[in-house]
Amino acid sequence: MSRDIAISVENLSKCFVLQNGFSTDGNSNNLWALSNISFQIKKGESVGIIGPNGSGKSTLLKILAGITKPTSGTVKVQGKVASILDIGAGFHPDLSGHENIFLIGSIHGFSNSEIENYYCEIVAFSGIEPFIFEPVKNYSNGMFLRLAFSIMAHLDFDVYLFDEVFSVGDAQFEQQSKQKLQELVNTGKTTVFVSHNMAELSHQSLFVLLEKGKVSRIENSSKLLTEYLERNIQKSGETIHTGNILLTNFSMFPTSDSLKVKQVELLQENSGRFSTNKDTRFKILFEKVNDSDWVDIALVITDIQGGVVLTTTSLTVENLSCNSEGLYMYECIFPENFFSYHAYRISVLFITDAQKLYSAASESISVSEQGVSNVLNTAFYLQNVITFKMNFELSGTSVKLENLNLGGGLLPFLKWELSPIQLSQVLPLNKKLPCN
Amino acid sequence: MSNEIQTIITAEPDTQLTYLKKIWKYRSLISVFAKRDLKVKYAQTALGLGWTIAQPLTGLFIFTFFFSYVLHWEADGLPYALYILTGLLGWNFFSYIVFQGMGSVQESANVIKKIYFPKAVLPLSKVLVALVELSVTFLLLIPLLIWYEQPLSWRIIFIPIILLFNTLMGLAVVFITAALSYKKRDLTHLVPFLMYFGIWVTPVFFAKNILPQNLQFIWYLNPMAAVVEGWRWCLFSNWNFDILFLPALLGSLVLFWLGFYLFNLVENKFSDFA
Repeated sequence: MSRDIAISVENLSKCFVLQNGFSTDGNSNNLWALSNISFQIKKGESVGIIGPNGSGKSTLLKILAGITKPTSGTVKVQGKVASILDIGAGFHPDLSGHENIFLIGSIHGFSNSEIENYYCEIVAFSGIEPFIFEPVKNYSNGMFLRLAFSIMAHLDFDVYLFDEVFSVGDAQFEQQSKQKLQELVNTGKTTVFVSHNMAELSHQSLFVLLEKGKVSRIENSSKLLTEYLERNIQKSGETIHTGNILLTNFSMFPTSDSLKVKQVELLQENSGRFSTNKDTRFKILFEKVNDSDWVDIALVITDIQGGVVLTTTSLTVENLSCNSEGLYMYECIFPENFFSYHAYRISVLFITDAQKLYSAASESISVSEQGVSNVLNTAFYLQNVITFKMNFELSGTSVKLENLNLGGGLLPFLKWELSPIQLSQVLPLNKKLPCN
Repeated sequence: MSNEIQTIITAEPDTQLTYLKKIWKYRSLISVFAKRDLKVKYAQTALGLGWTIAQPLTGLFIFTFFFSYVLHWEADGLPYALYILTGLLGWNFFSYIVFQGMGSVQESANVIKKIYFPKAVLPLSKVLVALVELSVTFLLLIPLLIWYEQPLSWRIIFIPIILLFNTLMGLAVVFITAALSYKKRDLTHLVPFLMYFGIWVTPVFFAKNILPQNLQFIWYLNPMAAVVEGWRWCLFSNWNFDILFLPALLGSLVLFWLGFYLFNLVENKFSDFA
């Protein structure tokens, strides 16, 4: 095994013998959680392992951690392994935080003197110094989590294995722990994550997709994540539109007495499939039944994990509200070279009585009395009305930007400049002050 | 990198030597677990460790009263209370290791499913706890020795050896039971019965001369008989060395090795079945 490999997995299989139940290979009570998988992880790499439930992710992690033995195959791990499969594993509620630090450290194979070396850092990071001699059972959830994480983050491991552990804390804990993890990654530690939260995984440098106990893909690009997500969405029955689409049936959305949506359309001109280098038009046709309210519109575009990518509203354009009854069509034009090569979801929000918003702006009292949310009446909400995916195209060149591990919801073409600089123009900055 | 250790994980169980090395590496965990157990056991009690003395003390009173005063049982030339206490000394140590050790793997099921460490550490930590209880029983022995004006033998220097065999016997039972019951737990239900039975085929309450001289070897088919008698031989100068101690103690060594061998074979299966 070369020296820069942290984990090497060769022909690894794990079979569980079911005590009662059905089997996967027909003739026996065997369940192959992993079958014949091989891959390597370099030192300093941060790896995300994804896959549906029951694909063998946790089993793989348990084998890497040495907790369970494989049925066949070999795993070689270079360095000391931290198995953080459950953030509070090993804690005893009746013991104090101080005692638990030594308990957890010892369970992970550290000697008392080694733990003492990290003790101060652990306590300082956890932020629970005043309570460190209190029994852990009296800690709040947050205190407990911070202590548990702090212990694992400060003991000196080489390889860290995480199994769905960051979905448990509050926002502050999440922030702190992410920062600390980034530090670990920066200092060349190897990290392996199993998670269902794709946003959490998007910063990894290697992605492994496990399916039915096999490595179905292993890639350096986070494209793997989005493709995996998109495929899951399609499996759940939702269509991801890749070309012009016209919707006329809105029976699954809430209805309103004052508004009736007739058509929703997303299109690019003379286009077979959506490409990033063309204007994209969103059109919505609706009938206003009465003429009592003013109606405006807003669009919310999210990525498929639900994160908001952008919002846009007709309110930013003057005199674009509709008042009297009748048929109307709002049209929103997204410019070319604006979207990225992801899938998106569009939601439509009708805003009634936006007039109040104008008055609220002039009379600040009404805002404070009613609250901003009361000023706007969102009458009608078409949530995730269209899911569509853009195909990256760049006229003239053949740059495959989608192969770059670029994050972010949008990929707008902004103005870039490159100018040649003469060395003499820069040099004065470095010049020493003339001495006499 | 601080340590460039390489771990190789295969389907094969560790060799016994590798396993011993792993246990050595995790030796501090043995005392940490023992400290945890002691602290947790006596947490939120007013008497604390004082409760440890209550059990042998009540045993001593009840057994002395019934067997000595009611049934008039004799103990070869020793005050009966002393005889019983020294018998219970070895037996209680053994039975503590057996009962606590047997449950120790299941007790830690949560941890062993999440973090790797050599599972033998768990029963070993119970040995330390048992040692604490044993030393408390010793505290009880001292006033009795003074009361009965019984001099101690110089052979108390052999106590560590007899203690070792006492420990090996306890661990042997734990290892064998754990190794044979990780899947089907019936054996763990059987062992308590065997233990109740065992105390009566070990010279704890009655003297071994209730059997005729030429049949006394039968006692020593049970290695625990040699251990309990060994304790008395260490403590009392009027107690005779029996050559049969040796094969019996050798038997406990073999049992221990067998137990360790079996335990090592299934050690990695505990996390799948715990």
